[in-house]
Amino acid sequence: MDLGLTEDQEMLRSMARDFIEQETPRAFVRDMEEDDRGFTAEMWQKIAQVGWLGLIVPEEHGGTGQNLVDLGILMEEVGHGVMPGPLFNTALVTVAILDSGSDAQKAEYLPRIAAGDLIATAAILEPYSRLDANGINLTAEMSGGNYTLNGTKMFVENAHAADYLLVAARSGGSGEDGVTLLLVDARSQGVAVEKLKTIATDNQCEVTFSNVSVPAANVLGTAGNGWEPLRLLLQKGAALRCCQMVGALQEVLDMTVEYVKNRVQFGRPIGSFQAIQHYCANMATDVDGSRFITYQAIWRLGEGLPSDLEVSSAKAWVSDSAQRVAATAHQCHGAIGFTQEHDLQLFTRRLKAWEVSFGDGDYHRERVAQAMNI
Amino acid sequence: MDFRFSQEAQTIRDEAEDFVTKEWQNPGYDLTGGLAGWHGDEETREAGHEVARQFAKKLVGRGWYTMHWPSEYGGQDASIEKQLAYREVMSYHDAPAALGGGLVAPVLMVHGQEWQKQLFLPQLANADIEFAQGFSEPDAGSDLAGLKTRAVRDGDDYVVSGQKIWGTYRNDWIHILVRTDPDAPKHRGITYLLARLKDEDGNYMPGIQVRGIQDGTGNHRWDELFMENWRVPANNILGEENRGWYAAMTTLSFERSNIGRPAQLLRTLEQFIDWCSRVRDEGGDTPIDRAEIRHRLAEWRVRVETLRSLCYRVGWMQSEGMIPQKESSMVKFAGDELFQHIYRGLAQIMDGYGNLLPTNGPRFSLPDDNFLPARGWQSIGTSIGGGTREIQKNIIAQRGLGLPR
Repeated sequence: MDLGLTEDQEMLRSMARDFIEQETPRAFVRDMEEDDRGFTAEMWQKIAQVGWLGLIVPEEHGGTGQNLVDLGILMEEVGHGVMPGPLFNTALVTVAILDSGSDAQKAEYLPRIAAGDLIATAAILEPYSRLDANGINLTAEMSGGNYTLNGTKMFVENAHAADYLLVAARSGGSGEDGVTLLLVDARSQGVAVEKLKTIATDNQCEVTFSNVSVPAANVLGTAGNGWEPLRLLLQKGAALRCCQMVGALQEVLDMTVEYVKNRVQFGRPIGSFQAIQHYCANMATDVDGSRFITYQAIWRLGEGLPSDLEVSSAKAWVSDSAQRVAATAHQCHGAIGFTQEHDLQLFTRRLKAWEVSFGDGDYHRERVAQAMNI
Repeated sequence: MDFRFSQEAQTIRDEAEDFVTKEWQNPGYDLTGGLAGWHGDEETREAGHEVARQFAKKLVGRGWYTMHWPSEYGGQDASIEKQLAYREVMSYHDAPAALGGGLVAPVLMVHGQEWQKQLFLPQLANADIEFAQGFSEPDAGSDLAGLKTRAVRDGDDYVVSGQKIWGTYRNDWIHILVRTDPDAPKHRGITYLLARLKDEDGNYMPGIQVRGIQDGTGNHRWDELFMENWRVPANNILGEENRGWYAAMTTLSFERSNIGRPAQLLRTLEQFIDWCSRVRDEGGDTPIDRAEIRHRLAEWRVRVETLRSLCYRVGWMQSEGMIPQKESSMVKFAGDELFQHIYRGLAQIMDGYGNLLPTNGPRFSLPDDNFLPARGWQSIGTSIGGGTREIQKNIIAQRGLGLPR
């Protein structure tokens, strides 16, 4: 049993932290909240240059061929620095192409992703916003070598900036049968993207598909059998989101500990009061629990082991504990933490969004119950 | 990163699993967690104690009882991971003992005089002796270093007067912390003694009086120990005079992951689910057909899983030569809280059945081997004993996070 990071992973972590502090400092994060695109082309190119877009892309396709745990460690740092931009989304589509793509698709898309020339995001949820197979109703009708897509996808992160959309569509059947995954050129005729305003300013989009024509060659995996790979992709998405949340939670804890050490009331640092100390102890325990339950999940996924119970345990725990930690952090910070000028809100708002991303506590507790055979 | 057990640890898991399912049957007394049975009956309690001792003897026979000890004292220098893997299995099966020697063994190994080592370590290793523990006092609980039991040197003896509490003083021997220098700062005036509580005939030594304490359910669980001019040979000192506090902190490389807690809770959940499937109402529904109960069970499973990952973290740190501190406090208090939380919830779901005592006999065949309400009561005590939840949080905040005192 080894719960630590390898030397290479430690190096990845420390380089990521340095890069994010330097290239996307908090002032930049704030600027990007006001920015229509939410990130800059310059920043994206730098991310490509340091190799993050090709992190899990095999060397033959222009990447460095690292594994899912490595990607998780990177996501932890992305969360720690609340780094803006579509890295998470592009990485998740990269995972999907690696898991389900044909050799030709890998050769076509992966080098472009690694080079920073292709931004992608997954379009899964629909207006009804449910994460099971019955929630996928956007139609994909086959005729003459093309699929025609009609329907609406909701909460598609960074779709406004995407070159490609990984769309979960229904090509027939019902339930888990008849789900088809397609890589759709976001500039196809009939694709309309509307940005939604959210509490997290996290660039969620509504994407409508009106008679969008997609070549059959763009089917990822086999047509009609997309549910199983999608299910796995949702698990990996949940685990990677947990990694991102763990990074953010660690920073929220560190920020709070620093604050209570220095904030003086009644002639002494408030961190010397036991009420505050016990809040901090609770936060630290929540954060560490989140970290190791997440590591267990991402490691199992990376190893290809059955992970239903572990992934859902992680997301259920992290989703809930994130809200506890953020609320406690605010309590410790008092009024200043409630202001825009303080950085805490940058985290609280995102943690709120990530709580429900890839399923909230209730959703995952139901999945845990299923995994327990009850 | 690798959450798999090593080959060695996996082997001991398999062996322990095989052994414990064959060799351990709960006799109808709850022998874990210091709870010797839900009854005031001394005879049954002694019988339960004997069952536990016999099981420990079997572990001695397998060579497992002191696997964590250094080889120079007959142990196997078992790795932390092996200890943890083994303890997880034994705790899951609710076996009453796993790794022997208690708190006193490492102190003996490091600080003991030769005669003490030769006399006590083999007996401890064979499960032939148990020491009573004389640490807590009426006015020294969380603030243990404030203990007042006084030992004054008189010729070849210490003359000891004072009071200890929250132990069971039925053993022949006690390991006890006493104050030898009342003027020194509190941690620096304490001496560690090994002393006879009873003579060879089983009678308490002159100056010793013991009085039982019942817990809130009438269970004789602890004793009070009164000492008045009790003479203890000065040669019984363990370590140096006035250095007893530091000797008591000796732990050696014994695993301290608290892995037994999630293991035991996991089994309880499994037994409860099994019980639910046997309890059907007129419509054929079981309690787990109710969504709110299903989700509570799932939530508990998630929390057990999270706790276990934190326990593994403590074990892993120890394996790496790191010293877990706030990490140990986390698994202690989080484990205690979860213990209470789950048992409260289970008792609610079971309605009146959740209040039935094991002394009703086996006819109800309730989860947790009929101990559910007994352990539910026990769970109140666990977040106090061994360092209260609040003390653990102080440790996390002050020593772990560096908050000012």
